[in-house]
Amino acid sequence: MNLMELLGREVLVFDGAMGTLLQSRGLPPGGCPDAWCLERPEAVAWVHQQYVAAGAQIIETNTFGATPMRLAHYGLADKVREINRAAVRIAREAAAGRALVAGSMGPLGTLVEPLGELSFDEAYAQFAAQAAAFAEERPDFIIIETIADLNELRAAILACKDRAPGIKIIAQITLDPSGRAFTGTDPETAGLVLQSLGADVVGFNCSVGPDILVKAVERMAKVVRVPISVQPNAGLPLLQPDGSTTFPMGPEEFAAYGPRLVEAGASIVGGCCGTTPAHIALLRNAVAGLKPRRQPGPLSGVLGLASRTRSLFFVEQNLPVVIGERINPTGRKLLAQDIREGAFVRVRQEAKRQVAAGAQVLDVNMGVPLIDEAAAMAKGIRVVQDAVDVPLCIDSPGAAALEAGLKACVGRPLVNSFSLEEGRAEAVLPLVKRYGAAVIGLTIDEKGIPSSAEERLAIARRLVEMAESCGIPRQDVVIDPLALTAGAQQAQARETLRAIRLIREELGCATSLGVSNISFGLPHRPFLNAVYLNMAVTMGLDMAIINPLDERMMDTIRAVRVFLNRDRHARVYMEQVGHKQLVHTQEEAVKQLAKAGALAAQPGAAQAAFGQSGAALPAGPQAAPDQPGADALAGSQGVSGEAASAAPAGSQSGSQSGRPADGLGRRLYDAVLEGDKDGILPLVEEGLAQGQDPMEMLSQFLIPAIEEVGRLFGEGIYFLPQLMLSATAMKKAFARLKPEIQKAKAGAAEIGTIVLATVQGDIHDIGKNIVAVLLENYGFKVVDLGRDVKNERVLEEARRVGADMVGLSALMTTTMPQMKRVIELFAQEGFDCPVLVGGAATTRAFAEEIGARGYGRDAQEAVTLALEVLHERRGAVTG
Amino acid sequence: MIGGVSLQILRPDVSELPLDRKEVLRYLGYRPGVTRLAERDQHLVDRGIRLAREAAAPAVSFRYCAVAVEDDRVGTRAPGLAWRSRSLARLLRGAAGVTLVAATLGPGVEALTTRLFAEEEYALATVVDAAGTALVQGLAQWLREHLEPMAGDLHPTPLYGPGYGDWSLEEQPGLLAAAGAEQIGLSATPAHCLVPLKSLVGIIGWTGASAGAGGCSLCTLADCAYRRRDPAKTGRNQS
Repeated sequence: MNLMELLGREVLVFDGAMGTLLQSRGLPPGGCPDAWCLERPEAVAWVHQQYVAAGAQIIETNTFGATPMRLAHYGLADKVREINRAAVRIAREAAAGRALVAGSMGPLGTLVEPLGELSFDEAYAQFAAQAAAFAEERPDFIIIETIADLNELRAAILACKDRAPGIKIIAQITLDPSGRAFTGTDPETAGLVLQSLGADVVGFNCSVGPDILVKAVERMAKVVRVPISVQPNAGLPLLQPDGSTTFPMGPEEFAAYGPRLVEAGASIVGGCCGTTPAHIALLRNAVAGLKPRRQPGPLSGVLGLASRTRSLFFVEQNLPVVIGERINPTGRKLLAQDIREGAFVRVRQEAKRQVAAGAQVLDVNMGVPLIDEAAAMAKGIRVVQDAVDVPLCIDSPGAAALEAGLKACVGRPLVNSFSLEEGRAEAVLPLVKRYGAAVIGLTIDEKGIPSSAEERLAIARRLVEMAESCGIPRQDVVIDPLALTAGAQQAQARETLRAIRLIREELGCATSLGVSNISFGLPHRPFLNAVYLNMAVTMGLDMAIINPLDERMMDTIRAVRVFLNRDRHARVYMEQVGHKQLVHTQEEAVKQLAKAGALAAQPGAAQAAFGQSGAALPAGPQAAPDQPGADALAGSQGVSGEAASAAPAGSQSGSQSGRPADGLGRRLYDAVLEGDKDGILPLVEEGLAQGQDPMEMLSQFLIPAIEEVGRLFGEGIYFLPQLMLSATAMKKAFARLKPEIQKAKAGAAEIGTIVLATVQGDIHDIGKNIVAVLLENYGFKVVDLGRDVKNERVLEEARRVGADMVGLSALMTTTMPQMKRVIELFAQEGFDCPVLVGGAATTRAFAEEIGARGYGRDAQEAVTLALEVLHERRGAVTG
Repeated sequence: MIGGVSLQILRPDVSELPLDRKEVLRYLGYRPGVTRLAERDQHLVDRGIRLAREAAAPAVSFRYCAVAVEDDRVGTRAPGLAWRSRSLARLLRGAAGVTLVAATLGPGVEALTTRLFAEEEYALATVVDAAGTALVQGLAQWLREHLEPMAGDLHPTPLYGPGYGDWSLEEQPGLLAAAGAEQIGLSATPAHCLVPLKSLVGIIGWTGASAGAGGCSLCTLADCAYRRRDPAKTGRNQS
């Protein structure tokens, strides 16, 4: 009879424990049960007959430990084939047509990588030996059981499919009392992964009693379309005073769980440790006449992905699913280097960051030129799996790398990708099928990317057909209709969107899209990407391949989920976005900052600082933005370049480093940031009156503020006037605090001394003066000798004041040589003092040539350099 | 003979000088599309420009001079006045004559800057300084426009002086003298630093071609913080 038909018609009952019965026939404790297949076959047959008589409809062979490495413990590794074959024959004979036979395949006794030392290939080889033997005797099932490690289960299922093709596979995982396998796998994840790999029946056995497994069966039943089997222990084991263990649940209690297990969704029930023929007999009675659950679980028709410990189903509530795209070395030098060198430190970091930012799946691409991509992919997958617990997407154009990734991936991954391009489907689909993955299909054929939505649909249809012909169901195929560049092919942007809807409606497939390309060549790319993604989601997009560190993009998705009623009560939106200050333009950002500062400062101070009457800054038009492309607020560009920083786009406040959250500190910070030179002194006085520590005011509020100003200047967001306004405010604050600090430190408030001068023969000084102000902001004592300063005087003064360093400025090629002479003079006179140089005509090369310690291209660089040099000379630096 | 071979001195009113506000912003490190520019900052820039104008006393001295242009040098009729520079020669290709120019805003602007610094008006000081630089350029531009109508079919090159390209600063003293710098209170230190600072000395060439690209594209200093970049190419990674 057709086994699966039988399973659909009635609940079947397995046998119970084998080992205890063998012991009752004389198997010594610690003896090898499997060996009795050869040594005491009649005893084994007797056990089978007991269970058949009790009503068992499927009996398991006595081969629980009959893999080479397990038998090796007893010196019987060379008897694998014999034992397994004998076991099937004995069982079949004992069943005499009244029961089906399942070849039992138990755990290897050691964890498989990455949890343990045994490699996947070695585990596979062990199971393959057993499976090959079974194949020769052809039992009705092979039952892989009592295994807690999902990776071990994977190896076993693959080995059975390869070496014993055509024999139905039952795969059962072992849970612990928490309701998960001790390795972290939960029932849904187990069901999804095992079913995807090709198990014909999935379920649980051992470790726990039926009470815990009822819940587990319910959970698994939601997810699978194949039948579920369950074989609990007779309760949790009790350790007896004499060292033996007993299982407390008697036959009646045990059997009573039978109907509950069936109701929860099981089609096959049985017993494991501690169960006897009596348990099985009563169980058979208890479930007699019960019909197994006929419908597949509600999630079984939905695409599911999993890691070892987490599964993700593409139900509407979860859409759009965010796939993080950052683990891709294309155009990212440092990441490529990290992979090439085998460190994988950045890979790990990127994995964690993306998941922390909300990615639900991670794409892993190890495409660095001239490396062993397959090896890198295997390692990459392992590293990422170790770092995070989300499902993965294995991304490579090469079949070898895909296979390596699939092998290493413990879970149910997505494969990126196949298409109708020459040879691609043929290379990729068999791998997808073998490893039970889901797959992305790109709507691109031999002619390239089509222009219309209808053409995309046509290709999608062919993609699905190809997948189905390889045994991959349509729900496991995700179609990516490819977003091109709106700048170059504007009409196509709409076609892609239409294609999403068509593919959903006509094919019922999930869709995915990587949106970064759409905005290439246009200004404000993150903004455009977010808008396009919105549009795609409302057309029904299921999955977005994006940079999850792009805050604007993620917030857009959160907003869309509110409007599509997926984020109930906008709970997530309120949590994640509600508290943010979102701004759209720089004008708005400055206004917000000013408001925050102006509210805090004294009345009138705002007017004085901003040089006009009236409180808030009017929103004026932005000054002449006369070119495309430059977007200072832009955050990451995904994989478009290493220069893409991780700084998020969009939200301004809260992303400044060191900015105090509130209170006086914040107001001090903001006063410096906004250059509020009139408002800052009252704040300092307020702080001192409140008993604030002046050193703390300086180091916690003021210095971080000018550091932020320096950073803004360095990025071009502030230019010179703003830098100077902030410097002025800082100077005033510092001047007021200096005597207080001197009192507190009982010494100088300054951190170091620098002598500045414009060299002999040169009379430019404004650049040097700017540097002087900034250095004082940071706490330097600046001795400014002015301009056209004789070389000897520089030496004299530097010596006199005990300078930590000297800064020289020269703006002309004719005066720059003086810098060299000063350095030579210092060396001649044995004066060990570093010389820093700057000025319009100077260059880094020049600085190196003359033996200067460093070169600053502008005021801020000069300050950074001076701090660095001071740090070197002095060790710890305050501020 | 544009403007005549004898020395001329003109003192235009500062209001006549064109001032490119964008230039002022550029000297201050402003990057279009990147730098925040709020009302307050605009007002500051406007105020600085105004103050610089008020402090400036523009004066320019100039004379026409016939030239003979070779590959790597430019000769003149005046004894001892010849210039060794390929870049100058390239600029003056086909020119029959140049106008020698000395221009200054006088000492007022830098005095103002110094005073503002002393008063801790640092931001304003930097704007005044930048405006002063832009005004000097404006003065040169004013002269070019003043002279152009007299040039018939010829066009003025941008003002080009010693220190630009491969034209050595060592040749500045001769040019200063020939351009009558002394008459407008302009001199130079031994290291060839012009005094007052907000000044220029150089030549305006008269050629058949209209003014070619000048400024930054002719300069070889690659890591100058002020290098003007082609707006169409400016992107996020502008360094």
